[in-house]
Amino acid sequence: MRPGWLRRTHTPASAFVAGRARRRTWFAKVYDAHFTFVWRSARRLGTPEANLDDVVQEIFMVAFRRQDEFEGRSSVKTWLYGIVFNVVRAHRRELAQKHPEVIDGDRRADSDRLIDGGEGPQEHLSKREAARFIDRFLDSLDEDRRAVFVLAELEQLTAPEIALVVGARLNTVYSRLRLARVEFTQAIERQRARDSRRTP
Amino acid sequence: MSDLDEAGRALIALADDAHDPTDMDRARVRAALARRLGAAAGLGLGAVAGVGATAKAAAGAGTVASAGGATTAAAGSALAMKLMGIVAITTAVGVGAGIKIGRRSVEPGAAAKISEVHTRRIAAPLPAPAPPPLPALALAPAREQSTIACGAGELCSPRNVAGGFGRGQGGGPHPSPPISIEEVPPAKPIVQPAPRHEPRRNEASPIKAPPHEAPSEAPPAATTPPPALETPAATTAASDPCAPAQTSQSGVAGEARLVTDGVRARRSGRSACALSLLDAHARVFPDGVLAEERDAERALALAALGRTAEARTAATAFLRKYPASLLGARLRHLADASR
Repeated sequence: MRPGWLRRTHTPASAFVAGRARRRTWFAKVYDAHFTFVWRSARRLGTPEANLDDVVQEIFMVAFRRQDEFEGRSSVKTWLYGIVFNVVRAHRRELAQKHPEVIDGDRRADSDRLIDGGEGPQEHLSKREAARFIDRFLDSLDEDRRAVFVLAELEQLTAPEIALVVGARLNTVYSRLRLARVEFTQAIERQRARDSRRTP
Repeated sequence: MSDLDEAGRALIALADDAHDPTDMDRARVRAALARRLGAAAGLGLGAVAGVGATAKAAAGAGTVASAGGATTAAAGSALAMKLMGIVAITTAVGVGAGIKIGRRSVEPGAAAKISEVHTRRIAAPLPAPAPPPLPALALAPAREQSTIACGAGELCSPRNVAGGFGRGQGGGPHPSPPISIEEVPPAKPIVQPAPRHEPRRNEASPIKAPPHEAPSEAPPAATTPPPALETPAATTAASDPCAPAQTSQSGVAGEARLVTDGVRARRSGRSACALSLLDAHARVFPDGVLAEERDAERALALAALGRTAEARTAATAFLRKYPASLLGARLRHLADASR
């Protein structure tokens, strides 16, 4: 069997090499600058923890393949968000089809952990609890509202940017956001009610 | 455009960085991506060094990666192009650069592939004193395509690795004594934790849910040449529900596997499983190159299990043992709980 590097075909033309070098540098820069938000957004948009590595890799693979499409039509960040959004959505759909229990299971596990998580000092605890609360809230949203809420409230994108990312009309974005906010406020109210029952 | 109420905003602000990646996440994904994209991505690894420079770049996350990585990538991939396209070896500079990068592979963090090579070295009976230049160079692209090429290719055979490194160091026509993987000092990277090199189990379908197989036991670390390939213990594999049946990986690969699977298990909520994997690591590789990560993860896993007192002890011990560790930030709150 031939070693892997022989099986690949490469054009040795110098122009090609130069182009590759440029792309390489660009991509590496994008990667360094945006890894954190890609990872974070992939989580927030609903990638199960166990699959995050793979999904984030896939996002950058797609970004790498499609970098020629970019060419400054939007900001890099918006462009990447679009890829994150699409890859995560595809991933979740695939999961929901093949292993519906994974996504639901995550949800159950999270709420369980919220109850028994009692260690650590207050500052950390509340931070973690806040994160869990948000995770559970996001899991409770439908996919469209979740994306809009994450992008607007957690990632601070503007509505027009979100419209670009999710491929929806501006009005639709506003309406989803409004509904998601209402749900968020209600979730907070419910949590308050539960807390006050537990610690009178 | 937020018009959430005060409480909602406060809540979001509180959880602001909760979803951010850790340094380990960053290093792991970077290494994996670099392996998949090879030279084309220029993720600070160059074509040549594959694992090593990836690990290095990942370890350096910030400055090291972008500063060093840029040049590394340029030199390395130029070399790779030559080799892959026309197999013309012309410039001594290219060779030097490539090999220099190759040398960087001999970082403690460079996990799986190196130890795969290392394993072969142990298995390979023949010592080749002076490898011919061509195979030694051909090592470069072979390593770049690490997973495939090293798995199948003669070119990735240990003597080539040793020869390549040796030449790199000597820099002249006479190969200096090969720097074998076994001679790698166990020292940690100075500024960053040793990166995780996660063996990619499923190249073809990356989006699938990871199988969560746990690694197997292996000979201690790459730092001490084990006499043979026999693994010291397949013992835990039988008794441990999280451990797998296969015993295929050794050395740093086995280490990386245990710790990585431990991390994954913990992050996916299977803290008990995580703990048993990390404990297995502690048994087999008490002073392994990933001991620091393992200790940190262990403390976190204990905390996740609600074993607060043990978590606190573990965190305190960690902070005492690795006062400069970047992982310490995540453990400080656990240790502080006692004060």
